[in-house]
Amino acid sequence: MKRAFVLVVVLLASVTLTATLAFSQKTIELKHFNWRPEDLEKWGKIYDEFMQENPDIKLIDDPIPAANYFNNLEINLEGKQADPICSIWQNRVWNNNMFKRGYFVDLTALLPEFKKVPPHHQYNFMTNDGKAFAAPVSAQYTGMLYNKKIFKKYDLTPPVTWDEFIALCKKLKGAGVTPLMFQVKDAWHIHYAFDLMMKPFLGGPAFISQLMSGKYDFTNPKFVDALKRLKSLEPYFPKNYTGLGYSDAQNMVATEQVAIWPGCGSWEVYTIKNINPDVELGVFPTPVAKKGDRAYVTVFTDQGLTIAQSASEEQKQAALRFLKWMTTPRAGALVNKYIGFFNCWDTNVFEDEALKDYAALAGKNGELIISDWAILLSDGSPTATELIQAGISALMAGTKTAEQVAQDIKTGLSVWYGKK
Amino acid sequence: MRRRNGTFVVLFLLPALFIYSTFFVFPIILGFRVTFYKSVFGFLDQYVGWQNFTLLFGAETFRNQFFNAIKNNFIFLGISLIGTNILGLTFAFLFSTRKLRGAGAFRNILFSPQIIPIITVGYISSLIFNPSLGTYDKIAGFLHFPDLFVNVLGKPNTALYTISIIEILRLLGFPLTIYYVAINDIPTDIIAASRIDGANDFRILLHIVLAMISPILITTNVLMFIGSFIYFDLIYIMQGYLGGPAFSTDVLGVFFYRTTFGGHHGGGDPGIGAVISMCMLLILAIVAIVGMLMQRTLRRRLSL
Repeated sequence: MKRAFVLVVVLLASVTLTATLAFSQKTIELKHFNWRPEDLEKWGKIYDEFMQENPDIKLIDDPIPAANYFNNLEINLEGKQADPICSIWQNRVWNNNMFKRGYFVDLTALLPEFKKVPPHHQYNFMTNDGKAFAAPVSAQYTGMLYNKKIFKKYDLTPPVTWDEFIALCKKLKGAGVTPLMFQVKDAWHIHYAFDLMMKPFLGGPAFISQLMSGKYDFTNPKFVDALKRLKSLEPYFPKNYTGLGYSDAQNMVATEQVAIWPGCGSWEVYTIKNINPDVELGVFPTPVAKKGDRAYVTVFTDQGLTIAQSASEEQKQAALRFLKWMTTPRAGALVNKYIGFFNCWDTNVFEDEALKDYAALAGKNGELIISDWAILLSDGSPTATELIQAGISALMAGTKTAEQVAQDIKTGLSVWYGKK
Repeated sequence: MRRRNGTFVVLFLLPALFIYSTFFVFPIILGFRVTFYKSVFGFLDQYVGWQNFTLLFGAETFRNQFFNAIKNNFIFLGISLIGTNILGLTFAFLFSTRKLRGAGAFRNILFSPQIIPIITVGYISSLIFNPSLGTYDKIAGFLHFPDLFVNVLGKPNTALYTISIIEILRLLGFPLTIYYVAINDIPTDIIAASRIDGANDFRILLHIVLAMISPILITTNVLMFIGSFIYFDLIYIMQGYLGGPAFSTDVLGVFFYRTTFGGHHGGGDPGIGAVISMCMLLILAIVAIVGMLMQRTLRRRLSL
């Protein structure tokens, strides 16, 4: 009797065990590799919504700091041990090279939702012959971020032209406030600030197409002039700004030590608010050359989700379901709500004042310039971003003149630019 | 009998030789091979012969950056080696020839930066020298330092020297400990005899101590040279991948990293990077061989 009882218990236990094992095996685990450790919780909320509708898939955020992300991603993809879902960035050249190497699943047929995304947000994640390989998730704007309290205190309104902008800076400086934030140490942001402020003077889409044609001469007077213009803003930068880095910029804006941060990205708003929730921020469009000129807006498609070719068939199917779910206006609204980023549907709804201002930029002035242009010239070594960052660093340190910097950029690029 | 010993010697050496060849010699040969190819994402893409060499030494941008990096390397090396040697010898001599109270504790404090990871040293140093938050600039302002000594890491003409001084402080413990042990090993009767002859401390240090520890001096300096020559970590952490400001802190290690892996937006060329590392290997090999030869003659002369 006892033996039979034990036998029954053992049988029941093993049946339950195999049953639970069978059921738990059905949960497919997908890791998402990206460069935003600061968004860990926020992505978690989006995953939760997806997992509610798809309980058999488990999404795990797997971020590493941005500085080494792309090197790491390259190594992982080559070694065939990348996470099933990897985020890629606006660097179209890099993206295309990686796709050509066969690292990403071709999504052209698998993700019909891709074609419904506004065309300017498809650009960074597709090849020249129309093959898609990433689902666009978020976009970023850069703008002239300003402190509303300081403006109110000194009775200032956002400037429209460059001359009004300089007059405003002079007034602030006279009153003892540091007008502009600029830092040189963390090289990657230099170009955002330069690109944003100089767009009206370098030209819009015409300038970009000239660059892409491989025939742009960086020593032309317009470009040298733009460099000189940047240098002319030096009196309005913080004291000893050549020793300040990006986190100093975040801190100084958050602690209201500067009035305006040119080139501040929309991705910074939440970070600054985290440091100081009381700061009131707004964004005004880039000052134009003369009244009536069209202001260009820098927006770029920031993050796209790819499916790694090295993932298992099961993982690829599950990842595809997630990508399909993410490439919808509904998911776009969640990106707005939880992460505070712009989505790729241009249907952005924010509660935050600064983000609302960013969104309004496109409406007021229209013309969107897709991706900051230096990244377009990164198909060889040395890249344009490297040369511009190094050049502006030398310009601001005073070791080179604007003409010399322009010549350096031209000489550096001449190794490969225009030769393909 | 002798032949049997010979076979045993070879057999004992074989495993070490095997490991050494696999992990050191073979990768160097492969690395040399990379210099002849254009690489894309770490794969050897296409054979280009000597093109990487002509690019590095011919293309103005690369050439300027290369020789600038070499120049910075030697400035950095010179200051840190001379500084650590002078300070290391002086302290080691003082500690070993005199009974100074608290010498042990002081030695430990001087050695402590060696235990801290370089990344931590880099971050703490950047914070100290940060113009808006750091202690250094606050003190400089309070004591009204001249303009040259403010914002030292943000100016091209002071950045490298500041980093060299930080490196002296970081590296000091290493030669200090070795010299201390070496000086202690000198037979005391030699020093006692020279004191009887009327030599003062300075002469003892210069003529006797230096001569007697010269083999160890050479070895330690060769090691420090090799370490400092390929130096990368501190400068990358503090000044970024461009060795700023304006390439003033760009050393060969950082130049190599930038050329091979590219910057924030990709764009590296491992072929040219391989050429740079071959040049570094050549310089290091020459220094190591010269050091070894000097050390051997010195040992023989001292009949140790």
